[in-house]
Amino acid sequence: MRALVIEDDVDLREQICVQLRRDGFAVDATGEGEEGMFFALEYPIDIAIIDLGLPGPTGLDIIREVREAGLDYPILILTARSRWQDKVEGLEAGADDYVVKPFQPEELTARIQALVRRSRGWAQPKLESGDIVLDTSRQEVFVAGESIELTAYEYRVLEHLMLHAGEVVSKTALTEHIYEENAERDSNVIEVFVRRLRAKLDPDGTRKPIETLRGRGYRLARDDRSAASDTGAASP
Amino acid sequence: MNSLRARLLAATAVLLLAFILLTGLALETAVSERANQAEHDRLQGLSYALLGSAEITDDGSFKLASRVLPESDLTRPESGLYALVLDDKDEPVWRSPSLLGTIALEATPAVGEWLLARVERDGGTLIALSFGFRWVTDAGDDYRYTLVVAQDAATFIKQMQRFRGVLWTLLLGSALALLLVELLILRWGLAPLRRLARNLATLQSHEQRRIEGRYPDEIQPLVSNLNAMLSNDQARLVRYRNALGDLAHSMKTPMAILRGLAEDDDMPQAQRAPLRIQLMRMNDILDYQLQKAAAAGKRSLAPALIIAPVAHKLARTLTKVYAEQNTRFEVQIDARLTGPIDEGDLTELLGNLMDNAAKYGRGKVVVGASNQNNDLHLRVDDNGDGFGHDAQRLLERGVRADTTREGQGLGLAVAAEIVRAYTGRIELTHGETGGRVQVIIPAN
Repeated sequence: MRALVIEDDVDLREQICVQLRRDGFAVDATGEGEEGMFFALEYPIDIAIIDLGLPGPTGLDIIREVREAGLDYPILILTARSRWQDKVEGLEAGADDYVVKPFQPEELTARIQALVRRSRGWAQPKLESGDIVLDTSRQEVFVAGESIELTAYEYRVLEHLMLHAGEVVSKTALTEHIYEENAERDSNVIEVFVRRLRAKLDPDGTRKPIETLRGRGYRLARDDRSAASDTGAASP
Repeated sequence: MNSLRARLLAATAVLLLAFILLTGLALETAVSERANQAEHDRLQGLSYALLGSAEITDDGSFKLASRVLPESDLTRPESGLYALVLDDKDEPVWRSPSLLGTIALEATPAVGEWLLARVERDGGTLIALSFGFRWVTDAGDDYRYTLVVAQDAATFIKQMQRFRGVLWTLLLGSALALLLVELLILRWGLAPLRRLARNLATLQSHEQRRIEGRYPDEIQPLVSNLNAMLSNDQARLVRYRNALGDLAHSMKTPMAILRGLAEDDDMPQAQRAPLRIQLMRMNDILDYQLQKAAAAGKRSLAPALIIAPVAHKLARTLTKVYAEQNTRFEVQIDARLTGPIDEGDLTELLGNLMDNAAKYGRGKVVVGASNQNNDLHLRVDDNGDGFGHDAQRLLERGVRADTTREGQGLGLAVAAEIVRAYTGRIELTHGETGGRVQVIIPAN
């Protein structure tokens, strides 16, 4: 998952970035409204965390621009103002949730993960596909009830595939969503990650959970029983 | 007498009445004097004519030939015009053929004196001019006579009455017409004041923030000042709230960093909990005091607010916030309902109450509002277990500075402060589905 953090206070921004990376996100961050606007409009983002009190274009301006451009990734507002008028303004502009400073780090994580999940149509924090279960709140993966260990990048690839279960995900898309903008990329590495994932998820090669579609990308079978479309919750 | 129009009208009416009365009396006196004089002159002329034709016979009796009488009316019986000559013992010595009885004078004029008097006769009134004179014959006899010429006053009185009637009718008619014109002038003249009053009234019942239109030079400064006051008031509130918001921002970002430090692995475990708790306390106090300070409260000439849009906005916002819990927010408010409350204050009030209801309810929050005697009644229902005693105490006393409880009830305390700023009432009761918060914002 790739997250954009726009927060003008350097220390707070750094804290949030550290926390998000620990939670398995690729993070792009900036303290400039101008730059934030560019990132928000141009990067393949899964979620944006935007401080409302920014110099230059305000957080509200960025949110409006993003929604006007037709981008529908979830946006979480960070605000120091606890007045409802400010929260209402932000959410009416197109944000999906807010967190008021000072916040508990766990609360920020929980809200971000819920937003990402719901935006992909998942109602519960546990993503399921066949006998693979990914618990986003604890970053744990179970196969047939057994916990398995994944590296950070392997986890990101699996999470992305599971959130897009049933869809074909190209190597480029995977690269874009698991790497930060200034990271060195190599799409061949994706193949390595997928190969390792397959080995861990399906050691005896019987179930083949990740399909390879030649020239197009990868696909993880969707398990409709746990999808949100069944429970009626809509993505925000 | 509290209306300007009534005052001006009353003053004008009194003045006009006095003027009309004096004018009428003066005119009546002048005309009636003039008429009396004319009557006097006519009767005097007649007297001279009669005296000119009179003669004293040798035996000393007064004689006046009927054919030489100057007015034919004197010959017709009971014609209304009479002449009579009395001797020195007031015995009639001659009477005109028109006079069948006599005329009883109250006083006899001295010789050479004219006396005009009203005399009652047979139920009628006569205007009688009597003249005392001496007649000295060639023979040297000296006779003393009184000549009385009288005219029936009925016609005269009738004429005067008709004059009076016409006079007073015309005067009163013109007075009424003048009052009517005065009324129209007042309506026209005071129209700008009425318009101002109307605009002030709509200012409070509509979402309007200034008095529109051009007013006469005498009122325009007042209107301009009122508008300046209104916009200053609004601008000051916005400035004030922005300042408080900036204060919150500059305080809370460092607090957020400190809060993050409390999770840092380098921080000794023993110090994390106190840091967290102290930060929480600071945050609660800051939130409570800032929100309390930002409440506009009751303001004069504040525009009335349409309630429903605020509630709908909050419902949309909170639906997003509580998407994970799938909480439903229902707004049961008439789209045209207005209330005497500032938009920011209503947003905070309802926001806190709805958030609180969502937090402690079981997935459904209903907001209702109504207008009763211009007071705004608000209610927020949840489907939870209702309120405990702690919550009730929060409403009564507000949040004490040493509170250590985590966020709980803070929303209710802030709501109670806002309601207090409007001298309103807030009550925690039980609704049909669970807990209910009831708020009354009074119109005055």
